[in-house]
Amino acid sequence: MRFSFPLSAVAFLLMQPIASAIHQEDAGVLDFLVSTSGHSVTQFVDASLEGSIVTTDVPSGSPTSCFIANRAVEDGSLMWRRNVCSAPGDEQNHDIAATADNIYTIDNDGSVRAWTKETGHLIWDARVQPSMSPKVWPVSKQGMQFVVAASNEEVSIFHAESGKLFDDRINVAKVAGSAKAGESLAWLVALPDTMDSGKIQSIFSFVKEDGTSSKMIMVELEVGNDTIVSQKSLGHAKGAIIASSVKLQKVHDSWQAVAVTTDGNLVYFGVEGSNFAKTLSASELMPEWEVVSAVRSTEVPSIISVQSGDQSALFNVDGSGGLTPFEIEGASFTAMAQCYEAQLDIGLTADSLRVYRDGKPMTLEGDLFVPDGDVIEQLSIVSCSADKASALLSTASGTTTMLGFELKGSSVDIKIGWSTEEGLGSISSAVMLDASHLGSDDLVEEEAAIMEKLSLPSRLSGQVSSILSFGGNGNNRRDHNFGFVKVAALLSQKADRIWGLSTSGEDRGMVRWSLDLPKSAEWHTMVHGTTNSNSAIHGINGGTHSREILVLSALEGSVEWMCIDGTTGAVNAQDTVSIPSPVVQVIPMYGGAGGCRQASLLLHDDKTLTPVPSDGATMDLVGEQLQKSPNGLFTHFVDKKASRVVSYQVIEGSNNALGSIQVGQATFAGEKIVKVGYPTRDEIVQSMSSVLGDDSLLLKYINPHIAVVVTVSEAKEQTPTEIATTIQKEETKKKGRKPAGAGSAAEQTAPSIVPNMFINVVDTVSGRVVHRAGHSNVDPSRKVTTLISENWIVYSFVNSVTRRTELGVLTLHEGIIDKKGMTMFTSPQQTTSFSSFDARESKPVVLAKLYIYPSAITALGATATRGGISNRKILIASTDGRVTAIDRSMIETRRPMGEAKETEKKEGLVPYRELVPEVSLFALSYNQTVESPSSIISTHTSLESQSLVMAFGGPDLFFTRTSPSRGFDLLPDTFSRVLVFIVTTGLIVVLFVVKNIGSKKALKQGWL
Amino acid sequence: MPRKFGLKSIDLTLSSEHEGFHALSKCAQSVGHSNIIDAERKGGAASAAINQNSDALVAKRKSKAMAIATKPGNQLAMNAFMLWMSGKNLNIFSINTTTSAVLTPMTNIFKVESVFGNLDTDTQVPKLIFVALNVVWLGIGLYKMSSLRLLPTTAADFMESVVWKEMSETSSIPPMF
Repeated sequence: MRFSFPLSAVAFLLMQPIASAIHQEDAGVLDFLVSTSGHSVTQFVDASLEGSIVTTDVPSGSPTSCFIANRAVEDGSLMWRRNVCSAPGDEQNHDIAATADNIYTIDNDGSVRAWTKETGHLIWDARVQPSMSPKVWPVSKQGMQFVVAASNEEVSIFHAESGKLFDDRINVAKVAGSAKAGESLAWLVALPDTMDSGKIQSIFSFVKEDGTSSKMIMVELEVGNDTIVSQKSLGHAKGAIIASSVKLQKVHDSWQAVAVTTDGNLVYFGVEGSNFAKTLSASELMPEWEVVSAVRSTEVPSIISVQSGDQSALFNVDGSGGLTPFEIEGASFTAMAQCYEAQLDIGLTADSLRVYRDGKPMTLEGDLFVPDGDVIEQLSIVSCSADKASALLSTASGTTTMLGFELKGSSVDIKIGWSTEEGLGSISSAVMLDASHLGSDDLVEEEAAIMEKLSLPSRLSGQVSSILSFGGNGNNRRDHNFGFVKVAALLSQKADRIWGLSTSGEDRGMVRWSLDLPKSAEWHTMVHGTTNSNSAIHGINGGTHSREILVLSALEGSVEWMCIDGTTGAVNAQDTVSIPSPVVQVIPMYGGAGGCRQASLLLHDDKTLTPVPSDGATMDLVGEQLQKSPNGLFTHFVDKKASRVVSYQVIEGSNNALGSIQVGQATFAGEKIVKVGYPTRDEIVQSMSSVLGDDSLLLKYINPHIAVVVTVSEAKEQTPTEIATTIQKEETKKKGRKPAGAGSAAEQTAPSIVPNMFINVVDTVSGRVVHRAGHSNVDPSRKVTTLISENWIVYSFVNSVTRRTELGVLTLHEGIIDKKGMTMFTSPQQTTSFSSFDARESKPVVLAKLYIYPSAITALGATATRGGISNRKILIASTDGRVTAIDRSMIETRRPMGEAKETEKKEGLVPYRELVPEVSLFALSYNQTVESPSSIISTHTSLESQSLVMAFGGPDLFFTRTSPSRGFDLLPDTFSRVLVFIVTTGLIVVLFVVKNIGSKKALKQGWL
Repeated sequence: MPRKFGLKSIDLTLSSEHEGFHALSKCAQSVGHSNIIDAERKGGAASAAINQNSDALVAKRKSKAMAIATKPGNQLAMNAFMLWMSGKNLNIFSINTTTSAVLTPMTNIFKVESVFGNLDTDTQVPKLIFVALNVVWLGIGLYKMSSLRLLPTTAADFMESVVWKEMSETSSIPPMF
């Protein structure tokens, strides 16, 4: 019995959790920023500046990223990055040229800029004609450096140092003639070897709407003389040549060109000298090839790289129209670079890296690098000396790797210097997966796991392991316990790749795994979620806790699917499903017992449906989903071409064949759909109502089927309606007397009040527009962002008249219950079910307000917490590089126009002011620049106060943790574990001593 | 004189008319007992006084009962003032006064029997007054609780009763592609 007290003390100490709390000061410091070059594929490498390389993604043949970047050769760190495009939009393009010290760029808006190569500072800029295929290249004359900018029919020559226009702009239309209807003039390539002659040779072409060239002309201009020296039609190069694919290659001192045709052939023709042209089919190049998809010039004269699907190979150009596979000792190569000083030929075959010196193979040592299954985009020599060389290898999926080569006798020592994933700069979608201690696959299992974790043996063993590893990786354990261990699965459509990114621990921000997706796919998507629950209790409940992700890649006539564990990248199952027509919608569902628990249903253009995986278990799952709710399963299709949203009901026909019937349609005739936004599938809604200052209840309109469809008027000049005209007249009448000296009203351009952008809240089940709001003077070329969170709809757009970003807010409500409308004795009549087809019930009461945000907004999001109890903050990513969290009350629709009443003050409502201030203290990104993310997602942790936020889609990827309602469940900064330990131990000792003294005294008194 | 024995009552009081009265009166007194004649004499004088005193006692008891009954009424004004002074916000002072204003009358009401139990008189009316005044006191306390928003009296207190609706249709939010 005497030992019981010390034992209990020891047990008490053991029970003290060592890693069961999180400190407030930890909040917000575990963020990371992954900065990429911005161009997901590296196609241009300039290594003329020692110690750094400038890269970009031209010539790409498609709209480019507009980013140029400078990385340090030593460690690959990003030195600077610039967006060289001045006009925002999806169809951006640029071209780049480099001299010894500077970089020159031109964008599709006609801005020519000069940048220092070392620091990326802007030296000068100038304007030329806008063009979708601008070209810029350097020339020199008598030791002076010039920059030639070609756009449309105009050629402008600038002094390289000052940007001053050297000569009159030269119009080439007089030699080429005017473009026909539907054609545009595009500059294809410049011949750089004419620099010293003071003449400019370039090829331009008339490009049809399908991207093919109708007429190619080579012109020779003389710098400083404003004259076209010569012109030559390249009419011998016939066929439907894809204009942007024309690449030059110098063969035996004459320029020859290769290009790809629309039917997958390769055209090879002379530009200088002989006028030959030859068309080669893909199978003539390689027997197993079906079509030629791309062609690239290489750094090695006489060698071109040709790509067919996921394969590429080098070909030797013999100068007479012949193309033969470039082989050394029977091996075909996919990339080749030459270091002349060391006389090294560095080549990559499909499965090995080879180095030759004077044509003889060398023994390789060190890191034997092979890009696994990826298409080589570029192999560029960065540095070259007599015994050393370094080369930059870039792949189509965006991996850039620096390789070092050192000559050691007859062998070469190879070292991988660094490697970056530039594809992370073009992430199109992301899913956050929990990789914490639970490791469970669904909610039921999670509860079981929690119960097990809370059991005494588990806790004791945890404490023992905690003590044994005291001072070790406490943070890691804590991250697991509090659910901070998340893996972000990131998909890039552009790079055809998926990455798993760690977000906690020492390796946060590092790529955990990556998987390549079929490059020939039209699109890829990650499916993770399920249908909405039968009850709207606490939200849509369309999320899952599963780690499984179903990755779909749409090919021609089939869909390739992979079922992967998103935390490890392990492929659990994969297959290909044939499809009768293109996929127009994907319906996620979860819970099947087949090859993949995460399943989906694909809606095709012909209204048929295909389950993926296509096994019996998934069909059973689909059957369950069809019977889940009284009215059945519905889906929809956003037809952007026809500007409509069509709703379908999924039905099961005879022989278990799945089909669909159209049940509704919302048509936006004369408008163009520019953006579609959906609610967050796993958002937790804590309450169905909001309490107002006077204790009445404002009921939220929670409809899991709504979508926000943003449309813009296609007509440039709309005819004002009678009402609009009357309102405008009234507005004009209201204007007060003009101050002295002010011009007449006619001199001013009155802003239009005819709306040109519409926010349509569409019920995707019934196909009805439940609310429509219009805005006038919206700049349709600027990005529109949307967010649906609970019953809030937030959207942003740019006003073309005021030139400012406006933030629209709609709150949807079912109604209001008066202060005395629901008491202990009275209760209003409430409907217990919701049907989208009930016209009266499904129509919300909408409150609206419009605010102004100081910066252009690129993405909107909302914080997510475990129970939805914490305040929900609105996350705003802006063009000034900030990710800001603002309180929802700042953009509340019920902010009073006049002075706030007592009840409104009680609720925290402040009088309406247009401007939402961008307060630096609210910036989650601190002083870091997060450039133009296109999406922000948030996920919860096991702590209610903590929310994890990730911004992606731009060249930077930013992750942070935030506390929307402060850290109410965190230990305070002043908490001292040591002090608690000392006090507890002291108390135990005092108790022990006092107990002993007491027992001795009692014994002594007994004897007396 | 024959002894009278009634079925309903028997008078055992010794008087001079009874046989052996005088013999008994001459007997030596036992330890602790007074002489029967003295006792009778004394008893006769006292009974009159007792009769007079018991009326006064009853009156006194009644007045005491009434005093107890109206005691909460005396405190009402002071308590109401205290509650008013404690303000509309929740703080230690307002919590104390409100708690007191609710718990004291409730305790009083529950202890009404014991409060009036020692008074050997008819306390029905005082009890009713006592309970009524405590109910008034409790009412003031509850009003204060209500003004402090500690009572579920508005719709805001029943927000959990707002119905989460059952969905008649199923759909699924599509992924980005």
